[in-house]
Amino acid sequence: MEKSQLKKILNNIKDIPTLPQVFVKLTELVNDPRSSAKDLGRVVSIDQSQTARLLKLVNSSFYGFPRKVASVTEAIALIGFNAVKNLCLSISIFDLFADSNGASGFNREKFWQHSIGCAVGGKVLAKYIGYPEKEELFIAGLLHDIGKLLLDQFFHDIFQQITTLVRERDMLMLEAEREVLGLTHAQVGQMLAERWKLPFKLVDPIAYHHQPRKSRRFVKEIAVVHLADILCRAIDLGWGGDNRIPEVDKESWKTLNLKLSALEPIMREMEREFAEAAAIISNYQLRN
Amino acid sequence: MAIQGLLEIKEGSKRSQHSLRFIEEKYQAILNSINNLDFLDTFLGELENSEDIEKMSRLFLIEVQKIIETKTCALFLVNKETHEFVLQEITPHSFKSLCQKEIKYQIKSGVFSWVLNHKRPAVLPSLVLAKRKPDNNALILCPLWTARQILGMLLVMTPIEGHSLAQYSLNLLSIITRHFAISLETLLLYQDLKGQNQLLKLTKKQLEESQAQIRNHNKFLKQKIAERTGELRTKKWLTEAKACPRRAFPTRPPCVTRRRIVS
Repeated sequence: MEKSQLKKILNNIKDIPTLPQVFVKLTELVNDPRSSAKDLGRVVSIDQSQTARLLKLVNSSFYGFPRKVASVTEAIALIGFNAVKNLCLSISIFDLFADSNGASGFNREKFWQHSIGCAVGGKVLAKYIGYPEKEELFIAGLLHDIGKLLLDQFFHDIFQQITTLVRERDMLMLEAEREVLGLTHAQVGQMLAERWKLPFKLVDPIAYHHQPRKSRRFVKEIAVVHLADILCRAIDLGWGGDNRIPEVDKESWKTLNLKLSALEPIMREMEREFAEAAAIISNYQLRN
Repeated sequence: MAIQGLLEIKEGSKRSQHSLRFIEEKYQAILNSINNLDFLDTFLGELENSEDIEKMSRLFLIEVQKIIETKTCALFLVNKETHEFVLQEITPHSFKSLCQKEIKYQIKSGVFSWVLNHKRPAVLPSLVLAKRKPDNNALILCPLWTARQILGMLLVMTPIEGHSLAQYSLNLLSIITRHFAISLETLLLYQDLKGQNQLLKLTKKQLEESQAQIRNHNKFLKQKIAERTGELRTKKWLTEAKACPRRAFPTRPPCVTRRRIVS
């Protein structure tokens, strides 16, 4: 299938999930430098369940703030405008995809575990490389395989063929996708992210996490997601759709400037934080 | 029909006015961004020209006050030896003890270290200042950090309600604090390098003096050795003369050269 052909099909799918209006408004406000925490708080508070879940997350060990944060505006003033936007985005995406069950034999629960593992990997790696915007890497990790969900939801038959091929030949999902579809989940994810008008800082890691060298911008962010994905597979956090562990890209490894001896503590920290993050995120799904 | 047309024109004109307003707003935003870049450029230039931490700190606090309306503004820097956060600069001075107390309480509550790890400005409720000066509404803590180290913390007390602070004020504050931190680190490295260079110069001078002393001493030793060698040679000649009085002796004592002894 041609890329343009799939794009056409994607554009014609009416059921393609759209991000909630609250998130769209929130993005507009974050893009407006004159906005204040009060303005953002007003928009977030429109959705009661979102507010509750956001506060739960801000008060969780993910942030480890020593006092209790009682209001959304306080949370925004504390963790920043972009961080709140990213948290709202992750909550919205869980709302969009978490409930629906795939029919292609694709284990969604394990898939989300892999995504959460990758998100946690992003956060842990952010600490090790001194990257200040850890929420950005967290959300990039969480969304990196979003294309697989879209394929599972809207192209059942094709996706089933892909998963069967992966099972039979024990190959990487990426290779099976190329063989069956002529496209990869990374490309599909990129199209969805672009359609959602997500920032390029998120679009690029989704698009290039398997081929980091193809992108010239956000090299660090892509390298982090690329490595986090591989580490998740290495320590069996969830299931990304296949049982293979891809090779680490040399350039990405160089970009991150990590020592080999750091890998062991990183993986240990990922395992430790994964349990906490999974518990927090399972709360996402419990509305109110 | 004509009324319908007029209504459509009116509607179109309304839409155009709306679009025009939108474009004007964006244009204004671009102009503001350019102004901010100019402001940053000037600030960086001034930082580059200052050669001591006191002057840099004063400049930094002046710039902070240009960005956000402040009641008090204090800069705490990490002491290299004790690793404590020491007050470096404050304006106005009357807030000195209050600010120090505020930092002490924030450290005790654990919020201070949280902000340091978070590496971004955070707007917080004050623990001391707001009680003493109720008209001071929000406390901003902004860490000074670089990729290699944490250099200090900026404390700002503003009369503006924390939740009403505009995003760009906090962003600008974050940017200039980062620039200041990098410039401060560069200055500290430069001072360190300068100190080491001076030490190196001093060591070199001492080394040269020692070498000169060794040279003099060697010269003295050579002279002594020459004298002693002469004495020994004479003594030897005399001893040999005494031992064999009938033998024909060379008329002159052997000459000692560098390469060999020529008899």
